Amino acid sequence: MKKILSANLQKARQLRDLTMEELANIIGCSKQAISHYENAIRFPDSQTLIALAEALHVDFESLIRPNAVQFSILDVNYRQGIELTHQEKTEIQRIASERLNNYVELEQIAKDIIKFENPISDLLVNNTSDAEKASKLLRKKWKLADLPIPNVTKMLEDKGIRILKIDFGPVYQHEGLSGWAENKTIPVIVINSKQKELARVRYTLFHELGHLLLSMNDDLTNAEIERICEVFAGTMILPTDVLIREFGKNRTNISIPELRRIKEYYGISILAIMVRARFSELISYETFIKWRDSKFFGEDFGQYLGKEEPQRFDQLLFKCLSENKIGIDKAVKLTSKTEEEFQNFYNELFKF
Amino acid sequence: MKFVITELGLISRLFAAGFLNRFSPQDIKFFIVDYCYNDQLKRGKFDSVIIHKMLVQGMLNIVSIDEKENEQAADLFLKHSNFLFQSIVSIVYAKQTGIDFFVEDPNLMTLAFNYVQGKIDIHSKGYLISSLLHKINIEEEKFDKKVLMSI
Repeated sequence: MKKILSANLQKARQLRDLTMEELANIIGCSKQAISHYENAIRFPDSQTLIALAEALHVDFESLIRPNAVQFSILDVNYRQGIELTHQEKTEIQRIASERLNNYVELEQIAKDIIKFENPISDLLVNNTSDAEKASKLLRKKWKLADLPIPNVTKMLEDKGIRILKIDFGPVYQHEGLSGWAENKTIPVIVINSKQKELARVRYTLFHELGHLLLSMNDDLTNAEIERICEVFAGTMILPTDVLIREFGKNRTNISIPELRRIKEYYGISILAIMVRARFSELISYETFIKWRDSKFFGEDFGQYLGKEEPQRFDQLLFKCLSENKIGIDKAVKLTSKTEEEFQNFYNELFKF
Repeated sequence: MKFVITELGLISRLFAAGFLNRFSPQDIKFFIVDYCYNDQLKRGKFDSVIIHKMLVQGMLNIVSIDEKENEQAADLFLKHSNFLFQSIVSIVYAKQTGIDFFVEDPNLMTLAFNYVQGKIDIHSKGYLISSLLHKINIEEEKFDKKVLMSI
């Protein structure tokens, strides 16, 4: 046990960028004591363990749990062009790691772990055309054909991608981010719970999937990588062949009712449809500009009526509760809710 | 009577219902380990005024555990990580001190039974309420049913 604590403590301290001395000062013990804990010589008493967890902004259980999963951000969604400071990044990683740890722990208790395999890892992506090829190949490998995907979240969860929906508060305003845990064996997509528009959420999920799965050429710039992920997301939601079928070629004018129908059927925003149409050369640059300058641009026509909520964590939780693998107290902790919040959430499910 | 508890909701409800204020801290004492107490402050559902009053009176006691017990509990947690660490610590503390353990979760009760091997008694909510009623010489039937149901 001393060894488990020593590894977790050291990792948590380094993540907060603290020296042993700084940590010792915060909790009011000697530097030697911290060194003893980190070198597996001593084990702290309960008061010290609580103080260590508070100082490091982690749950005390995470310091003694073996195989605590560390989430590292592979890439963030920079669509709004805002860079993150080191401190912000650390805080985001901490919040996401804590949630991911709970997720992985629940999978272990439920003995229900989906192993992930990237079916397009061999395809080197150099440009947006390759992104479209990758999207086609992935749809084929995942047997999605050319059909609309009614629930992207559920589909990705079934493939072994952990989807977390997190409210980061003011720390992180972007729509999503993605990364890997456990030596690139656990892919994770985090959706910011602030994002409410489903078409946008679906796009973000595929955009982040692009960051996770596409083997990018090392020479690509960040801007090029972002553009490639945008094309990948667009083609995953609305494949080019489908777009041609729905749209027709050489269009000179596009009406809102037809855009609205495609949006509602495929779950893609009107802007994304038009960008896809232009990218696929179904409309000319002039037609695109004409639409962009029209009074309809920016208006929110139609609504995708599907559902995009992570389901798997809750399902595992209910399964473990009904099979008495965990008690309510453990469920409360795993969901990061208060007891009252959890009971309201759980009781709601029993109502007719 | 002494009990190790893992949450504050039940004793705050017992106090609010008038069960516990018939006792002095010499008659009944509850012990909660610091891990449980800290976690309850964050996630628990209880009347904080009552809990504060019980702490001041000495009827409720927050206890810490030393390095050896803490490591022992952490080792036990490794084998039973589907329980909360703080629940495991409470069982270890109860066994070490010989204080009876109160638990509502049936799975935790089974684990506690196996771990303490008869060295202490493990009690459920029903037993606790019956014992309290017995001590204050009130039969369950005479006590307001609505109050009992609310606990």
